[in-house]
Amino acid sequence: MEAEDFYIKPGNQERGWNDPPQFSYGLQTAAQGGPKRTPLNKRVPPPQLTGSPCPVPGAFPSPMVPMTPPTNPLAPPPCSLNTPPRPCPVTAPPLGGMMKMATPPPTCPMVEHTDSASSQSESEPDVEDVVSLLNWALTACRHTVKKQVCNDVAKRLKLFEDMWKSGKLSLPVRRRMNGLVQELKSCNWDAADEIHRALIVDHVNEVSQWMVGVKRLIAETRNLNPDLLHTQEVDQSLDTSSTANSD
Amino acid sequence: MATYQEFIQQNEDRDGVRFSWNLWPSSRLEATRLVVPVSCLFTPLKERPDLPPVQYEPVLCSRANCKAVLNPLCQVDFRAKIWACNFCFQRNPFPPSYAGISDVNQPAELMPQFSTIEYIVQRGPPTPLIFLYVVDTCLEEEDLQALKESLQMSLSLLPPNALVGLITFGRMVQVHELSCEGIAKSYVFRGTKELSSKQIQEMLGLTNPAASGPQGRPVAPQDPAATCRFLQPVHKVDMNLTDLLGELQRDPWPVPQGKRPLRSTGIALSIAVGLLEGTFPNTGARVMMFTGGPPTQGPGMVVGDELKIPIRSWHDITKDNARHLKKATKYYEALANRTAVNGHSIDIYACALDQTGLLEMKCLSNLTGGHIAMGDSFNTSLFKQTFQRVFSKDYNGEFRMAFGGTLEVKTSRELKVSGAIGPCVSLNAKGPCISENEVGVGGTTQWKICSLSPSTTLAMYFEVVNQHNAPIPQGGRGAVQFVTQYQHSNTQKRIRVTTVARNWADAQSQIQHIESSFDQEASAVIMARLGVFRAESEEGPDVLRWLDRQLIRLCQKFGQFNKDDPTSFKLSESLSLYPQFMFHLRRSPFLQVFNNSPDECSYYRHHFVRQDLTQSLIMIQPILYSYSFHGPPEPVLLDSGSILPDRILLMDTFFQLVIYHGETIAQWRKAGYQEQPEYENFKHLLVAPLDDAQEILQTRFPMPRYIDTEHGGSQARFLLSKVNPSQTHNNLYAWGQETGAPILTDDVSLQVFMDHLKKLAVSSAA
Repeated sequence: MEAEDFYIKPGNQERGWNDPPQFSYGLQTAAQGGPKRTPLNKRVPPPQLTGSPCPVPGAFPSPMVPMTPPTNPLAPPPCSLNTPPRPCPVTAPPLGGMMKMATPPPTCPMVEHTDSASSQSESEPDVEDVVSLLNWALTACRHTVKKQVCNDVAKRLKLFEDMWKSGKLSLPVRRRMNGLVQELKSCNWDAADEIHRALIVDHVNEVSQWMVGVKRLIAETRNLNPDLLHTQEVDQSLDTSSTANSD
Repeated sequence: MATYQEFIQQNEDRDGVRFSWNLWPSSRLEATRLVVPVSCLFTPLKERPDLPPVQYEPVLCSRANCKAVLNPLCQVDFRAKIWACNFCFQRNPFPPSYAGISDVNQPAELMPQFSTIEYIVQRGPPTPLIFLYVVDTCLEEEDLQALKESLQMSLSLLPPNALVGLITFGRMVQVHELSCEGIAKSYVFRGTKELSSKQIQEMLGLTNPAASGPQGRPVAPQDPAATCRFLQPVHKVDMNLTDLLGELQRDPWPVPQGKRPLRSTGIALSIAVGLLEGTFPNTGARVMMFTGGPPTQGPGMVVGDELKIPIRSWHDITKDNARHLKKATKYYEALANRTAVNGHSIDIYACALDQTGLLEMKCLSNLTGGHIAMGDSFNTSLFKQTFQRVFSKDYNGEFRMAFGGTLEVKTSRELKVSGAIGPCVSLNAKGPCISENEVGVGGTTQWKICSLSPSTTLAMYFEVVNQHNAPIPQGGRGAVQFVTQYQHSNTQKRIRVTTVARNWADAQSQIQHIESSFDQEASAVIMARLGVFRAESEEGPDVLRWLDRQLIRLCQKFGQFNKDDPTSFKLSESLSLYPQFMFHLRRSPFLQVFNNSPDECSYYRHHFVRQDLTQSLIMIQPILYSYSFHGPPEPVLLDSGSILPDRILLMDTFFQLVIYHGETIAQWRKAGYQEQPEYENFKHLLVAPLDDAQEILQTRFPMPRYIDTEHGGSQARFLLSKVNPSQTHNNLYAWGQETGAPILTDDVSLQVFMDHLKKLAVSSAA
């Protein structure tokens, strides 16, 4: 998965108060496998029971606004609440140690999913490439899989193609579908399946009508006799409507 | 103290067990004097990435009323190939397959590090998992669309060989046939007429003898004649079902002005349960009910269709003015018990701005181990992600959900089982280990947990039965064995066995040691579950009085003080957090119903009595961490004194994550300092709590609400209502402290609570 597939969107504040942010499928699955980085589970006993002097820094701290933080050379003077804040000398937070290239700050604390910058650096996937690979797999299935099922899948692949060509699919969907068909071509069934799952979780309103066809296609293709797929490749090289790799 | 902490943690990591006392008082009388009973929190399917299951069946004691599993506590004679059961002392020969064992070649189940071990049992054909969707169509268009999309998405998340079914309901109830070809068919039921299970099965055409296999066993799905038309493998019907879901319309019956839609939830659920009962009893199945409002028609109705009559509030309930409450609760309880007997579970996903009847329906999930998710709308991230996480996978890529669990507990002679509190039902299994004093679900040593996850945790209560002054039992240790049989999500049947032991101690001579073995965290949760259990049937104030009494008695027993001198009162470190837990428990939504609707209360309690220790503690006493320039993030007292202008606070209540920016921080943020390169430190400070919050948000089930607020913000009330109000408008000037944010409340503060507690504990008049 690309880095753009790990993102967080704000929740739906109109329909749900304090709706939590939405994590992409990639982020959620990454988090589930491993242990927590910083378990937040410590507590502080109230000072009056242990008989020892108050052990907790911060529980009864100094009443003044912070002076020098230990790691920073410059101390901000105490802030005056009545004067308007200025970059210096008043009300500034402690300075960072190093000057760095300014990166645009996130407007909401969570990183928003953008279609710009990094994704534009990739080339736009070619719809014909993607569709022909899908059709390659479907044609291979037609030998053994029930006609009705293949027709159903074909119907949905057509819908996918139409939606792409009429600009109804966003770039992440197009890009990831390209990735999916590449995995399909290399017979990496689990990887292809995972991409389909990520797409339907992250972009359900774009893909719900046709993605199940892709899902079924992956499921049926992986069960095919591998020879069938190789034969298919040979046939494809003779098929004039195909633009897939020959050889 | 350090050694007991480590001991406690190691045992929890290995066995998923936390006992209230890790040294057991050797007589019944002394045990009652300890106030907190000998009890434990047990997580049957605790995640153990390092524990590979073994591929053979467990060896059992041959005594008919024992049948304990071979474990590391058993004495073994390797030469004679005989083992002695540590529970009943029966000598058992090893089975022939163990002929090669010796003390240098021991089977895993005898080794101490395998006090918890899992067996894969190969009997019987694999039975598929079943997911039956029961969907309310009386939703607003936007909500219905969002729900449809979530359901379509879930088809890609289901285990590939699972069977899936669809029932939709509104005024009528429709059971959809999921055939692969031809036109879509469904069977329609009136939403008002109660039918028996047999009638439902007849009307659905399920009573054809060829359609079911041998008694209690479903036939393998490959057999077309036997496959139920309503429950089909998802890999076969996914395309059709996706279309079917996509075409679902809002309930067509018009809703007049001033009325609620007629929702036949009771009948819909009864049909779902009956359908599963008739086709796949005793196999893992989830009924997943999605509803956008209360049942308003038929058995199980919670409120009528007149909008001017609101759904019952606590006030109505205390004034005995809740017309439908008793009858609806009884209806759903009967349904829940039937479902549990069949080994199935029911999830409720309720999304609406008003109550949906969780108070009446909660038993459907509580008795079967199913989930309850509560949200405002299906078109929210809270619902969508919570629902996605039902299908979450573990480190092995396998689904976390497990089915058809049964838990059996064995104890050594000196101990008996009083009962369990958690998402279970009794299997009414009689045996020698049962105590006459019932606590929670008692009178049995076996329980059924139809749906489980790696965090499902039961509280188990024991009774020490040794007579006073009887000698300490031979061997000096008492033992408990937990045997959990369940269906793994990969459809394998497994048995997990955990055997633990603790030393007996004479309370008269070793009280200090017993005290230092006290696990205050586990005890707080164990007592809290008792309190919540009582609160279901007793008056609120009575429960609080009971809780207070136990706390005072505990302080009287273990406090160090001079009589009648409250200022001399001290508690040792092993008890120092306990009174604070009790203080926060008293104020928690589990015991304080004021300010929460009956449904919200049911929801909170549902999660409280099934979570593991760490999460349960968070619910009792929220975690508060402070972020500042002064150093790394640190835990701080859940106290108004911790609210300072130059701090960012992260509060986790389990149900909410609150990030609160102190006044100065808020001003700096508003001025945009984080965007200036020379103030990168500040930017890092702002982001630090978000990063920590993110980890929690990414994994917790159910998804919590997320509140980003600041000093003076209206949402700050979530923080202000949880912290100990050490400064209020009543004592602001008397306190003499100039820091912290005063809270406008008349609630008693922790200081006042502790003062009263100390006074009562040291009083010789007690």
